[in-house]
Amino acid sequence: MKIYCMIVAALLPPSPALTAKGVDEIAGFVKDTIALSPWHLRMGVRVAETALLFWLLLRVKGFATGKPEADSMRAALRRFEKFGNIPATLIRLYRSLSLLAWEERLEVVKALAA
Amino acid sequence: MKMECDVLIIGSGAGGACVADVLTRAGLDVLMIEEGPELKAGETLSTAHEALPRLWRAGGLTMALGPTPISYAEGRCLGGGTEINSGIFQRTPAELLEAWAKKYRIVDFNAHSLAPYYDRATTAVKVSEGTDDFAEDSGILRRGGEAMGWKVSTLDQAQLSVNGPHGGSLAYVSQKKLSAKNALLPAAKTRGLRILSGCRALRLETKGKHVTRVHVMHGKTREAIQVKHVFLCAGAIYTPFLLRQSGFRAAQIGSSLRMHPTIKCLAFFNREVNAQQSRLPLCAVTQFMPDQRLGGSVFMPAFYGMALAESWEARGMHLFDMKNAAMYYAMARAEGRGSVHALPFLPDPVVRYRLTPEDRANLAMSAGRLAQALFAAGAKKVYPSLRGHTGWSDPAQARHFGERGLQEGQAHLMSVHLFSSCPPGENAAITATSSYGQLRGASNVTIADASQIPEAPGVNPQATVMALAFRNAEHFLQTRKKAA
Repeated sequence: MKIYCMIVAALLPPSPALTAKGVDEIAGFVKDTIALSPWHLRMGVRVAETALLFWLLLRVKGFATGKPEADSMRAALRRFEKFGNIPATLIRLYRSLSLLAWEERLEVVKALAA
Repeated sequence: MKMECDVLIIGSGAGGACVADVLTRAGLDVLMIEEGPELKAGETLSTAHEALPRLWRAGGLTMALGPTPISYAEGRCLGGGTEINSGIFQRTPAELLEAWAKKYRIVDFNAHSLAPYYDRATTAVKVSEGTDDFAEDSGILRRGGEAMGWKVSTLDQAQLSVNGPHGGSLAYVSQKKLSAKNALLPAAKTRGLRILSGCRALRLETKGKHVTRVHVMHGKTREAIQVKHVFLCAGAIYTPFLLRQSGFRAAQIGSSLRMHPTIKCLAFFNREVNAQQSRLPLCAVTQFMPDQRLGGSVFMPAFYGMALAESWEARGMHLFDMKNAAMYYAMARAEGRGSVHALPFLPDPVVRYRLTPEDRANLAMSAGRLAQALFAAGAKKVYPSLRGHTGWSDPAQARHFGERGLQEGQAHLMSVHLFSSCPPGENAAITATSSYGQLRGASNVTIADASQIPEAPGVNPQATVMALAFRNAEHFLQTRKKAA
């Protein structure tokens, strides 16, 4: 769950900023939705996630300690996405689900309406 | 609840609800099982992130694999797909019905003979013409289509009210749309229909050609239901999947899946459109039907977010431009086909689908046409759902794309219309059931769902699913009466 939180936090728009609890809730939604997907698709996601995990461990300062440097995390995810095909699909999946939930948060709705 | 019945209906969507309506009127002891949950009276899910995990199969993450993967959506709740669709109601064109009747040798299958069943469906869900006077997103499509010299039509919809905003919303957002659950099941319940939600059919147990029991998972308990007859109404994916899991091996089961693949286009204007208020444009460019249709997509903040995420580098800058945006689709009546597989040890169906080169050309042409109509209505930028695409800024770019065609794997396609996986007819070489849905290889199984539509109809399939379900259920009653 902590890993999902770190990834989601890096993929969400910086403004309007969410509280840590808000990010946790979105990460929970991403994790739970992926868990609902068909078994064979879920296994594909898990394999791609494993590759991403190793990539982030190698590329992001502070990732191993659970306190990644924000810019470094964003850059690593962008770089991973650039590998194309499956890596790009994985990041797009995370981003789609994150933005879906983000757009419906009260603080975001208020900010977008302003 | 006693676990036996005269008739077991598996699935509670457009097909299952119609079958329950017919059979309970005839006084039969009917049990309906639905894998998904039942929303309690008065319970509403006002956001997509609440609705997706509860009402959509696999939280909406379902995909047909192939050179160009296609995401598809199915309902998984009491009411099935009619809870999550737009309730657009259209009859299959007469010329397609006649062509299918000939090819598949379907008895008594034409616009005239199906009319009473379509009428019954129309009355059941209170179909009325939508009004789009108030909605700018509808106006854009209408003005754009007319500027191109194309025919634009207002769409009929299953709804309780035609006035005011949100008339075109999903059932779980607005109570104005009339789903099968709300239209038919309450009355069927008063006539004795029993419903088990949260109950998944696992396998049909047979003795010779007769299905004697249906094994189910109800909550966390495995049980068996004694049956005299089974109506399979689980949809174009799960009906063939369940049959394959139960050992029905006929090649015609699940091997002829069809879809309406769509390319989405996100359009931006220099003025406010506020598509998030009307949520669904209720008109469509029908000039090129049944092969192509250009229409409006459901637009909610959540879906806007997903549309931006599709190609974030190009679209992220529009994060705060939602009021100026609207979303449309270009749909093609594909000739390609797919298959539904039940693989050993896998609990979910594996779906494969392959578009033909003609389908790709058709899709590209329809997306190009849609974008041209949107530019004619004043769009400043149109983003098609193509991999890494940076958007079109003028109609010439869209026209050029339409002429050039779509490459394999180039598009993010999606579909909400799936059918044809168990087609009916007397031509046994290409059909899975009789003309009235009786499964070959079983004496007491009838199919009544979208898998019975022989090929892609080019229109929203709900009306045809309901008409065929009424027809198959009535035929079952007549056969039963004769036998008695």
